[in-house]
This record gives sequence, C-alpha cells and structure tokens, in this order.
Amino acid sequence: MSDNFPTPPRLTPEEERIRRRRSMAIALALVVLAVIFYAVSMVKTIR
Amino acid sequence: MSAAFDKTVDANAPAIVTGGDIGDYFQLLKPRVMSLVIFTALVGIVVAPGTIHPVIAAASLLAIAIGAGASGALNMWYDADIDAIMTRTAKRPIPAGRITPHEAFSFGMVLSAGSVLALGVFANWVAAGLLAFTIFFYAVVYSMWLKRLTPQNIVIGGAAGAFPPMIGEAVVTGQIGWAGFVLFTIIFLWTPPHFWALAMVKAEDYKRAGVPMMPNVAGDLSTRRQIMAYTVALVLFAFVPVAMGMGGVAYLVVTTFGGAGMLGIAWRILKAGDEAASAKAGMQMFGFSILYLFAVFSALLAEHSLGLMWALPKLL
Repeated sequence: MSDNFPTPPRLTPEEERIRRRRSMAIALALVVLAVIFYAVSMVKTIR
Repeated sequence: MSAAFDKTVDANAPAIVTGGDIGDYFQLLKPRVMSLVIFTALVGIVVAPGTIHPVIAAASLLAIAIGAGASGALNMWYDADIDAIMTRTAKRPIPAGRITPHEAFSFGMVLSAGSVLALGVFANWVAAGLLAFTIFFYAVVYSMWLKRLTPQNIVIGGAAGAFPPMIGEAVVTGQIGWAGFVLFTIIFLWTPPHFWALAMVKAEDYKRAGVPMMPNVAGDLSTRRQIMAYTVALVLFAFVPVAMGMGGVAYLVVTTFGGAGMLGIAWRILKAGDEAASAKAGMQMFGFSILYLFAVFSALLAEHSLGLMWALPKLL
C-alpha cells in the first residue's frame, strides 16, 4: 500500500533554507494578523 | 480561464518543489504599485468628512495594501506568458521560474479573500465591498479581458488604480462620497498619459507580446494627441478640489505649477519631430507624472493632516 505514495523529494540545503524562511514568514504574518485583530477589537470595544 | 491556469512558461524546466523565496512572493505583490495604493488610500482617509481611530485607519490601510498586492499577484499569474516575452517583466518570479503559476494563483486568491474579510471586520463592509470590486476589476476586467483586447485597456482598467481613495473615504464614512469620487477622477485621468508615455517608449516590447497598446494600434501621432487631451482634462479637473473647498492655497499652488509641467511635457510629446525626441519626452512624462500625482496628493494630505489648510471661497 505504501508503495503507491510517491517518494518525497529530497531538498538541497539551499531549498531547505528557503522553505524554512518561508514557513517562518507565514508564522510571523499570522502573529502580526492576530495582534492587529486584537488591537482593532480593543479599540472598537473601548469606543 | 483554465487554459491560463495551466499554462507553464517552460515545459522542460525542472519541477519546483520548494516554492519561491520570501522576496519572490513580495515581488508578486507589485510593491511599487502597492505603495502608491497605500498613499492614495491614506489621502482618501484623511480628506474624508469624519474621524477615525488611528489603529483602525492603519489596520484598514494594511488590508487595502494587501488587497492591492493580491490583485497584482493574480495579474502576474495570468500574464506570465506575455511577461516572459517583454524585457521589462521577464525577470518577474513566474516567468523566471522561481514561483509556479499555481502558487501565485493560490497566493493571490488567499490574500484577496483575507484582505476583503479583514477590511470588513476592521472598518465596514462598504469599504470591503469596494476593495473586492477593485480586485475583481484589476484581475478579471483589466488583466483577463481588456488588456489583450483593446487599446483602451489602460483607460478603463486604470479605474482599478483609481479606486483606493474611494475605499479610503468609505473606511471613514461607510459610504461613497464626493471627496473619494474627485480623487478617483484625478487618478483615472492621470493614468492614460502616464502609461501611454511608457507604451510609446516600450512599443516594440508590447508589440512582440501582442498587447494592443495605443501606440501600436492607433499609431504614434494619435497617441500623442490623446496624451495631450487627457493631460488637459486632468489639469483642468485637478482644480475641482479647490472649487469644492477640499483643497486650499497650498493645493492650488502645487496643482497649478504641476499642471503647467504636465502640459509642457505633453506639448513636447505632441510636437516631437522624430522617434528619439518622442521617446525622450515620453520618458519625461512617465517620470514627471509620478511626481505630479505624488505632489498633488501630498498637498491635500498636508492641508488636511498638518493644519496647513488656508481655504479659498467655495465655488461648488
């Protein structure tokens, strides 16, 4: 059964670095988004 | 649409398994266009009749900027085939093979939906609806439909670039008002001279890519006349904010001198004797028109946000 799955591509160190940086950027963007939503919610609640 | 979605720039290129670097995704957002969108939307927010909390204004501007960037990514996804042909755009992430068309499409769609929803939550749903319409207009009406169909592509498609001040006003007031409409019209009239000047210089590039820009279809002389016509309309219309009481003395001075500069270059384009003179004047128009729009909008920004408004009698 497991033979049906394609072998995952082997990444070069450079490709791994790019992928890691991209994952970190996505995580950071989500954190920033959460902070902005929180700030806007606070402002709207206080007003 | 599916044909465009499936198109690949180089069928023999190795499959990209990592996706692009962060810089490539940032490039997909067309940062220079995005900065103009942020600026004009900010002016829309500032001149709007009403007040808004700075946090909500900043968050809304971010959502508008991301929405503009998303439409840029969708444009690059759809135009990857012609971008690969034109020297000006051949190094963009998709034609250069650093990002696949599928990745760019997904990126654009996720950011489009996210930015519209975020603006709805941050500000109001009128502004969010306008942003959604702007993305649709740029990605579908301009990129997919008009760009390859008619030499009037950037006249009608230019409306997409003119919407941000209207969105800015809607962020504050929750509706579409005259201030936003006037700023929309200024950018709308500014777009043809700006892009046709570039198209005159890059005519061969557009011709090779099969994009029917005005110089290739109607000819050089007709384009030069139309640049002059739109410039006259722009310079005259730019006085409307003064008549409405939206622009004061500083705006009047900037728009008068800036308008004179625009008319001077348009005249030089119209009277250019040969191709070299025409190209030189075209590049001057391309550069100066950016400066003109920036100066005119900066004057409004300064008058409304720095207390520099010396108002003149209202005529409208």
